[in-house]
Amino acid sequence: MQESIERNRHGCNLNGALQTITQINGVVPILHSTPGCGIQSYLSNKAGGSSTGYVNGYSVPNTNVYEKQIIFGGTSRLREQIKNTVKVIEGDLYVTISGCGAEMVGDDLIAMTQESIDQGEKAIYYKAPGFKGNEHVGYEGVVSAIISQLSCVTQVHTEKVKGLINIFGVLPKQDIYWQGNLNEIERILENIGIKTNKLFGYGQGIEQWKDIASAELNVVVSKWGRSAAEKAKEKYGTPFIQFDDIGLGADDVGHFVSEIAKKMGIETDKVEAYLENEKNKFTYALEQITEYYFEYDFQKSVAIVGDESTVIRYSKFLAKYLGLEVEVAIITDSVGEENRTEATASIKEFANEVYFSKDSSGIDKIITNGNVELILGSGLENRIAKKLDISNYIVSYPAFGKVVIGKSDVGYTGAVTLLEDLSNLFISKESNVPRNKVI
Amino acid sequence: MGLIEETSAFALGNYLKERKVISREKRVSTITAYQGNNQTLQDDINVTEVRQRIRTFSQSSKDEILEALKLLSKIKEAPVIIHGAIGCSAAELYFYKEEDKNTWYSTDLNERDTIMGGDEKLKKTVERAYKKYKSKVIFVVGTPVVAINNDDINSVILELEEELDTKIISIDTDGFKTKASINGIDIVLHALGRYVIQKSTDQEKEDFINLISISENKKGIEEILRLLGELEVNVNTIPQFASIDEIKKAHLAKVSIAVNDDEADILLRGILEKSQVPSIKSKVPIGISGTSSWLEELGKSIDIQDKVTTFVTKEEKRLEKYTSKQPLLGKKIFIDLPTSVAIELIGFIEELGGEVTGISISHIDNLNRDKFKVLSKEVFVKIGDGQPFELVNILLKNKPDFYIGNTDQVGLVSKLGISPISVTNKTLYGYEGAIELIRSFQKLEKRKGFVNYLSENTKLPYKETWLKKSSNWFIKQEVK
Repeated sequence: MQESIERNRHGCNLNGALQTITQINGVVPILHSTPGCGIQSYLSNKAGGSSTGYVNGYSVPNTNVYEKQIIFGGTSRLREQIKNTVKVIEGDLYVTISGCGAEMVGDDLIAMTQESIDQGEKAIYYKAPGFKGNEHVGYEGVVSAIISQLSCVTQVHTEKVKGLINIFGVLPKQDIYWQGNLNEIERILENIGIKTNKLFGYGQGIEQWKDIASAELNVVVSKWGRSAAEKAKEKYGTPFIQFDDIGLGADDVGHFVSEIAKKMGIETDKVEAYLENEKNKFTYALEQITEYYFEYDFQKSVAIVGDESTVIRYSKFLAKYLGLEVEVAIITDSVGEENRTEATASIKEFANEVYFSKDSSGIDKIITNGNVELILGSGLENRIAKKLDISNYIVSYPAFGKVVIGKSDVGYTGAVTLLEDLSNLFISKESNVPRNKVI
Repeated sequence: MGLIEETSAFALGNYLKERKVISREKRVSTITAYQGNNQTLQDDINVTEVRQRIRTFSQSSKDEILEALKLLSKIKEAPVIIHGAIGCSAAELYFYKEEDKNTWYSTDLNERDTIMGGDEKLKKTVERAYKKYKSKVIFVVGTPVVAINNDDINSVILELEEELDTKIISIDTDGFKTKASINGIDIVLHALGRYVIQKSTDQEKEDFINLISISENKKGIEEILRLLGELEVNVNTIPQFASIDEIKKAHLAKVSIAVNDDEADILLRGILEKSQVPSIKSKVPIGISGTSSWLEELGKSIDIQDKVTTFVTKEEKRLEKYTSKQPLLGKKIFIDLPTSVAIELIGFIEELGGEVTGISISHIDNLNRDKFKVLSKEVFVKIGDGQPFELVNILLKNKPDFYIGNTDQVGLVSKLGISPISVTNKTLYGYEGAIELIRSFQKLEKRKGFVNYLSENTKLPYKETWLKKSSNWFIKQEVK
């Protein structure tokens, strides 16, 4: 039996689907669920990070089904809601999403969505009962749903565009640096002549989603992007390449870029020259902290808590470039045993112990036993940090008290940001600036 | 005003015996969908059977579970178990972000559990929570999945209470039987009344009062406590910010007074019913006359009128310099806050020379409808939690200079070029709350950069055709 979770950091399938599609410009979600589902999502996102979205928070249409519709069925209420949403809110695509209540009483989401499509509206559906998976599953599911259904309601661009790739696996909001990370990938690949279709965030709307079919390659940057890539392969024959994560710092990013370049048939010389330059720039940055590094004793022992891709990325970077000792690595988004073996294998070299847990009190215990000097975790680790009188540098969701808009934690820019932030943290700590400040 | 009496709203003396509190709609005829001026509203609600309306288009709103979770998160040393799908506990991240000691569990029901039942999981979770915290009380919150499946939470609780030395309290929310989210507060208060508040007789009273706080922020309560401290009144603040032991102490108090008796109604009645502690009905202590009148009501009931009069006079004198200039003269203000707070704030805005042209409130019912009688007949009233599409339509026609509300809608309001004040992190209550509000208005007048830029450079997703329609277009009479 799956266990209960103390202080869960993730919401449900519906929360995940909602926080994903609200980051696509022009997309209007229509929730078909009991009231509260939309606001649960809104409040959990508001706990930290940033607040954006075309139609977000209290603005998200919701049928707010109540007793009568739970007993007699809410299909006609949904029909009325879809009809009126189209009259009130401007949208390029309407996405009907059902929650627990609607799914349990068997309301016909598909038929109601189809009815509006028949009337010429651009609408798709996604069933997101909260008892079927968490926020990550919601991302996976809704992205796949758009890919499979969009071509049924509008003309997608199937002609291949040279040098175009799609990125799958950066989860809006769940990756607290998602905006900056997509921008950093775009920046890096642009330098070797690749155009990135980011799909989420600034300037990303339905036109970009129609372009999915015209990409030459799909790039998967976390395990959560795989199902979308598989869907695109099945539908449009687009090949894909999968990474555990994007990488941070010279070697891993170098690997990421070279592999993509190889697949896209880009000249090796050009790629190597670019990577060489980025590596030199990174080394130049790293050199600048040398004196602080030894003066303030940067060689700490740390615990890292977050999604698999985040934990892998930080473990490698901290061990390889900063000589920190990753005492414990705690992965919070695991599903199934096989996946655990893979993840463990990929960071075993950089972390002394690898754990899988979603339970905050279990995580607190692991951290305490790990006897570490620093935590890189989520806002939920603030309280154990305070108890142990050590700092918690926030790298994963939820990011209490932290606003993140442009910063990234991948690639080269992310590496320099991390060098700056960690140096500031170590120096201020040694200089007796009040402890446990959220940075 | 004065003491809560038997004759009002519903008869006292028996509701705590009921296992469940009757929903707000049935108990006090709560309305959650309405738009129009105050005159029409008055005609509508002062009848024997109020007309219920529904929205044929609606946006996300809070439900009773959210209100219950929010309140429970502020009760100390009592783990909260949310028995349902994991998303029903998502907002806990927001409610608990600054709490160091409290905790919650999600039973994380999956598809199998929705078919086979989640009783066993609930049982294990309660045992786990008890083993770790040994708390005197554990709350179990119901959710739609559990309610639709008719999972029997109570048998699990009965069984566990034989094994464990703790009180397991079921919070009977389901998320769909009421449209008034405040019902979640009622359910929590009913449970506290039934299971935590002690029976007592008159002889045992001690020298303190119960201050009932439900949704006020810490700053607001600190200001109220400052006022009561000046008057040398000993206070037991419950249930927010209190431990179970402090809530248990309530029966020993001389009287109970709430900051907002609309929200606190059930607990006020519960303490009265079980422990014969009189409950004072009063205005909400917002603004100068609101605060003074709240203190005077309290003064009367615990016999410290003279002390109150001296103090109130002194404080009012101190505030004269802020109000005498009538800082809001000629300004139009729109208020979007919980019902009783909004009503009291209107009085304060008028004291400052401003004119309230519209209000948006979550609900209206028998408990607060009399408060509307003092309002001007022309004030526009929108009833219903959230619904920004209506708000934007109304504000475009209402054209206020300022908007006062919680943070939720300030983005939308700013984009319309209206300067918003968010009271989410403001004191709001008492004399200091009044001063802070006046200062906020003054700031807004001068510091318009942010709002101006946003309004000139962003747009909202609403269709022109909608914005030209009457704002109550989607509110219809319910067909039974």
